[in-house]
Parts: sequence; structure tokens; C-alpha cells
Amino acid sequence: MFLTQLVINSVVTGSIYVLIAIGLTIVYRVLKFANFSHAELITFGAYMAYIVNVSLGMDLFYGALAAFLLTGALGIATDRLVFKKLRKNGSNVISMMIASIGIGLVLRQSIQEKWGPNQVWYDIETRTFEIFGGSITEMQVYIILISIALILILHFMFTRTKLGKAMRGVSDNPQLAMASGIDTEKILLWVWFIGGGLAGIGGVFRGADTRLVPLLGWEIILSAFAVVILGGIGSFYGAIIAAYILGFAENFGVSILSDLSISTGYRPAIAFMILIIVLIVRPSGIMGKKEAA
Amino acid sequence: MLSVENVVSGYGETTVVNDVSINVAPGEIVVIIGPNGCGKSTLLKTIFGLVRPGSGKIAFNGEDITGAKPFELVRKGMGFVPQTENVFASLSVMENLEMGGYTIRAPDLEEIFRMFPVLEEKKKERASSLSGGERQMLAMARALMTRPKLLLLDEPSAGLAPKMVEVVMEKIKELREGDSSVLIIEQNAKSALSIADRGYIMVMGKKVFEGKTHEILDHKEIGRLYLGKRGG
Repeated sequence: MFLTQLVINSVVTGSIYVLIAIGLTIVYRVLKFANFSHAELITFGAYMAYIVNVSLGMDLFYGALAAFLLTGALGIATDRLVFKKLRKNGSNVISMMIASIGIGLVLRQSIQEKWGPNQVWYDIETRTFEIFGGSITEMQVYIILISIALILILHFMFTRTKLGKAMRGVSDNPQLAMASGIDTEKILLWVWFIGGGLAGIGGVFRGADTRLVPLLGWEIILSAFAVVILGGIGSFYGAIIAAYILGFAENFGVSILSDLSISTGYRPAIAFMILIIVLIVRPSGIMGKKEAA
Repeated sequence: MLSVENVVSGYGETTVVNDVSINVAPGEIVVIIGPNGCGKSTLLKTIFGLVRPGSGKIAFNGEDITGAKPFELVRKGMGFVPQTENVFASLSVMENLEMGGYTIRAPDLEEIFRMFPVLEEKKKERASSLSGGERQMLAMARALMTRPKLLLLDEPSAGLAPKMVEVVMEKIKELREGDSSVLIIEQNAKSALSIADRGYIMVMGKKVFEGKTHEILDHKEIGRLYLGKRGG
């Protein structure tokens, strides 16, 4: 049935967005700026998995693992080389954001220099299952299950572990965290590592579901921002709900567009429309705080 | 315990604390009084490593700690309660206390709950849902989790109802019985002086007077200027 297929597609889209958006939002929570280079962390992760999967001929699972670790490390590197220096100079969030756009440009062009502008594909077999009249690939099942597993792990980390609580403490009140004996710079490394790592895995998902191009991350970063704002900037649980809402909105939206004989090329506009409506109607998002933090 | 020698400190080009020396002995409660903008808050932040001193020396337990970072000072036995935003608002009461005990292996919650019973009742609630007085209790409790040898308090009575101020001051007095030293800065001079051993008065970044509590209370000029006493 057509509806089943739409639901499957929506859940897959949501599962790709969710890790990317969580990565974006936890970095935002602590550093209070919109990190545009997150787009290229996504792309970087996708290509790191490509090296492992295609160049080294290993299973994509190992590719995703490498993507998580290496993109996490790249996140740390961008902080050490650029953002930490800006923080020390007391730069404002606008400078940080513009710097992040610059980092993104450098990364994107470097990736294009290395792998070329044309699309490439992972070496994966795609078995397809039929359920309730819709079809879903084996890879899409993995995407959904791994996303859910990672969300549960993150939830456990934020609520049960010392590191996770310290991350929340640092994002809530950095000065007080310092006054509690927490080495905030060390916690920041973890924030970048996990935020970057999640972006990397999101890139692998997107690459596996579509294809790899140097603009891979850039194509979905605005949807990711829409998710973060819809969920309430900095809200972990809001981002999760919002990712799936946007997944549904985009897929059902595209279906409506094609029914109306409007080009489906307007798909990205759906995220923008949601973004604009949220900003007008409920700027704090689904789970956001009423008062400005 | 704490000795501050000729500290000059401020923000950028602006000098806010100008050549100030103070000290706190073990088990002592010391209060720094002064009008708004006199530099007392900056002095406290400089001691705790939140502001870097331009010159001067700060020693804690005989060890030079000038320029040390706050998280290092906590590990050395210092605690700090800021005036505002002194709790993790989005964290639960329990999580706030866990943050306070971040540097220690097995924090002693029993002792904290004995001192602040209200926190045990509300341990699962978000800190943002607490009343002003409860928040101040939590702020102090968080800083006490490490059993600091020296507790720095930035205007603990600010924004509290008079009844609550009394309660807070009582709690501070209890700390001395636990052998901790306390350095308080206050605008609400009278309540702080009622529990302190000694005091300093700061005006425009400089220390203008120091003495025992009764000397400050009996000093006519000071009484008129800073304690709101009439006449003189």
C-alpha cells in the first residue's frame, strides 16, 4: 500500500536526521552557536566509511564505526584549532558561526579535491523486504535500528553516567560547573567527539540510503537545523521527536506536491516552511524553555 | 588558610580591585562589606580563579594558587557559591548535589541532608522549581559536597526574605563547627556581621578598614556610611 511506503520512508528519513540533529544540538547546548561545519562533518563521516567499505573492502558496519571515531576526532580538531582560540579571545557567537562556515568550506572543498564532484556508492548488497504492501531495504532496517539503539545509549549516558550528567551541567551553567571542580574544557572534548561522531554516522546513513557527493552534508544540514529549532534549541528529547516529525512532513509533503503536479524539487522548502512556522508560532520549539536561556 | 597579598585585578584595562590584602584563618568567618561596585565581588572571583589578577599573590594553605583554575582549587579544598545562577537550573536537586561532589568518589549525602532536610524532600525536583530560599540552600549544599576547608560566598542573602536570611546565616555558622573557614561578601552588612569574626570594608577597589566585628559595628563613621545607622 502506498501509505505504508510513505510511513517507512518517513521513519527512515527521521532516523537519518535524528543522530545528525542530536549532534548539532549538544554542541549548540554547550557552545551556544550554530555550527555550520556540522554539514561537512556529516560528509566527512560518509567518505571515511567509503574508504573502509570500498577502498579497504570491509563491511560497512566497520565503515560506520570508523566514521564515528574519525569524525568525532575531526570535531575535536576543529575545536582545538579554531573554536577554542576564538573562545579564549572572547569572540561572540556570530564570529564562531562565521568561522564554522569557513571550516565547512575548507572541508567541503578538500573532500571534493580528494574524491571528485561525482557521486559514488557504498559497496552494499541491498536485500528488500516486503511489509504491509510497502518495501524496505535491509540497509534501511539497520538505519532505523541503529538510530534507536544510539538514542537509548545517549539517553542512558545523559541520565545515568557521571560524564553525561557533567555534560548537562556544563551546558546548563559552565561557570558553576567549573566551580564544582569539573574541568569544562575536558568535557567539551567529549561534547565535540560525540557530536561529531553522531554527524559521521548520520552521513554514513545518508550515503547508504542515497549516494555520496561532496555536498551530502550540505543537502541535509538545513533539515537538521529545522529539526533542532522545531525540537527546541538544545533539547535532546525535542530533537528526537522533531526529527521524526520532519521525516513525516517531508515525505508526506513530497507526496502531496506530486499529487498537485508541483515539482518534488521543492522538498527542501518543506523543512524551511516548518522552520518559519515554528519561529513565528512557537519560537521555543516543542520542548524548548519558555524563557530565553 | 587564605592569604591575599597586594592583589590588583579587573577586566581588560579597567582595574577594579586595587592593591588589596586580606587573610582568613582556619575556622574563621570573615566578611567583606562594601557598596555596589566596590570590587568585592571581583576580589572573590579573583581568589577563586575566575578572574586573573594583574599582580599580587594568593596563597591557600601555604601553597601559591595565583592564577590557578577553579576546578583545581575545588580539588585543593575551596568551595564557591556565586551570587546568581548558583544552581544547575535544568538539573534535579540530586543531580546538582552530584555535580557538587563531582571530584570525590563517595560523596556523603547523609550529612548534607541532615543540614538541609528540605533538599532530601525535593531531591527529584528540578532546581528551577525551587523557591528562592531553597535555591540558596541548594547552592550552598552543592558547594559543601566536597567538604571544603574554605567556602567563598558571594552575597548569600541577596534577594532573600529577612526570615530566610536568618536561616542562611545560621547554616553558615554551622559550617564553622565543622571546622571550615568562610569568606562572605555582603551588601547586607548587618546580618553577615552578626555571625562573622572579622570584617573588611572595601570602597572603590581599595580596602579602607579592617577589624573585629564589634570594632566595625561600634565605629561611628562606618556605622553611618555602611550600616545605615543614623547620627554620628
